[in-house]
Amino acid sequence: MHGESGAQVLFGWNAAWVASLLFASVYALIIAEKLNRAILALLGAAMLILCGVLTQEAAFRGIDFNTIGLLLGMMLIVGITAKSGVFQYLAIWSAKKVNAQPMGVLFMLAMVTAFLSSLLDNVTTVLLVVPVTLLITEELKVKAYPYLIAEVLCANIGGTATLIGDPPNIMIGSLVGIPFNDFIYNLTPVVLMVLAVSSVPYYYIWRKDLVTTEKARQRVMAFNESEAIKDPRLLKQSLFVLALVLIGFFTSRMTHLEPATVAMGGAALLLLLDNFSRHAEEQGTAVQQAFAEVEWVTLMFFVGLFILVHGLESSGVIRSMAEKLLEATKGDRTVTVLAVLWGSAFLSAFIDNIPFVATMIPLIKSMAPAFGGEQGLMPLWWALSLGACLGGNGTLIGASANLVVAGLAERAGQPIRFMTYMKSCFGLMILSIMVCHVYIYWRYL
Amino acid sequence: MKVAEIMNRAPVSVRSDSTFGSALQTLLESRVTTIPVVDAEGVYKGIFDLKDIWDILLPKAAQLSRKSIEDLSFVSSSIDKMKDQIAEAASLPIAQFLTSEDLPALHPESPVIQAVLLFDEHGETLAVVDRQTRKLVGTIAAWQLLDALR
Repeated sequence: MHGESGAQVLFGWNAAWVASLLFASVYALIIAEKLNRAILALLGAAMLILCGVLTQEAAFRGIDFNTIGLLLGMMLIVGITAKSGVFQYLAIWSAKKVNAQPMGVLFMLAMVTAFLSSLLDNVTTVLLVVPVTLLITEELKVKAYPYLIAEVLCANIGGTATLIGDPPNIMIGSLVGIPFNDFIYNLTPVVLMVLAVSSVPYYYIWRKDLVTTEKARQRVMAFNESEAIKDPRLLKQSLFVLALVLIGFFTSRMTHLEPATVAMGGAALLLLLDNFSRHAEEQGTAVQQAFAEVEWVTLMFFVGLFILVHGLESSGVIRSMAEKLLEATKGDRTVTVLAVLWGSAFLSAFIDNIPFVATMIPLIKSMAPAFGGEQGLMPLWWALSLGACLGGNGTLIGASANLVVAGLAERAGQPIRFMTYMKSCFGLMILSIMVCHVYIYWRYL
Repeated sequence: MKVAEIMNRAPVSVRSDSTFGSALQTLLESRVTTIPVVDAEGVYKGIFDLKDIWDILLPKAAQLSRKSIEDLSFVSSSIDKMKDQIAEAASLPIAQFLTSEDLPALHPESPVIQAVLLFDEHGETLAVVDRQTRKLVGTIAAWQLLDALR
């Protein structure tokens, strides 16, 4: 049995079986959460090459460096920008805009989170917003978890709106070749609807808990947000680069620049501006620090995962899975699209949506002939994105932002329990998918 | 030289069943920044020090490690509010403030260089306990060592 490009599978085993077995084992171990997911993915990828399913060359072809470059570039830009204090400024400013009324603050911080998360990575967004939230709620003497849960939900919802907001979208945009603007045109409207519809029940769930005293409110009003800006020069530089990068994304269709080029180019420019006036030694430390902020665990996880999925793809497993799925839905596009939406949502509520989407992309791609070519697949991509991103809101372990916030809350002495979270949020997740269901049906089917 | 030769043999200490308020009072009266905590039998339980007081005053968000609040210049604060915070904490049991995992402590027969190592890592006043019973037998403050070096 031969693997891709002439690789010889060990002991003459069947390449499809080896690839499936390795993939399933890595998946099971990721769910068990006993070992770090980056270790597992890289180990699985190495085994795939050692067993002869892929050559090293073929494995490298499976890695989507566009996704890796986009993530890396954005992580660098955000890491440097955060040092200016602009995100704390934004959070405090928004809380004061509503006179520090607890419900108003909840709404504003949720919207700030949704907005930032549509441009930045979700985990980065909550890492920036949650500490300020804890500070404000402590001053207001109100429970922090209604705020923290709203931020988790909005980080995941907001991230769905753009190509760069959430890893599933980054992968879909990059691997399928869907431009930045198409994401905004197709996903931002439904994301706004989801935000509006979700905020109604959320308001009724929490409104009784959110009462403060006049004195506490005045203390928050006395916060001086301009003191939060630590480095005005860096602030100007990073806002300039962020603007350039966004223009780069918006115009990518005309310029034919890939997202990774834009993000990495922006990161290089910001590093240059930030270090231009420093001495060589100082530069060394500053650049080292900027790279240390990058989440290498996530990036290495992606590398391993891409190789594992490529193993499934090249050995024909993905194609036969797609055939099975089409058989089940009898090749009906409406049924398939809605099955992808709801299936992705329920699965992503319990498992990591990144490996799930990485597997689904080649699977959906291979359905193109059944649905009249690539154009016919578009509703499926939007269903996959919405299901995978919003499904993560269903449980406390549904997305990485959820786990990060739970960790911060625990350390701040305001723990969020798995069941408490699920009781209020699983229903909200279903509601958001219902909104998407109606939207997709009405717009595309 | 052994720790026993320069340690303070009659250290001020507080009982582990006392409150934050009374421990703070003891700090203020004896003008020390670190005070050992012992149980009813005199067994060493940990250290109560200034850091425990700062933790009461600081917002929780400033005590999270990664990417949390590094600068509080924008926060409004007043001595009155801090007094309130101290007053609210006064009745909390002191046991709540003890970090129990590793209670770095010296023994009377420890060499002085071990005290230097612990000063370097853990601050300026260390407890000295009996090796077998872990009962508090003294304290050694950094300035006691410096005096001995003159």
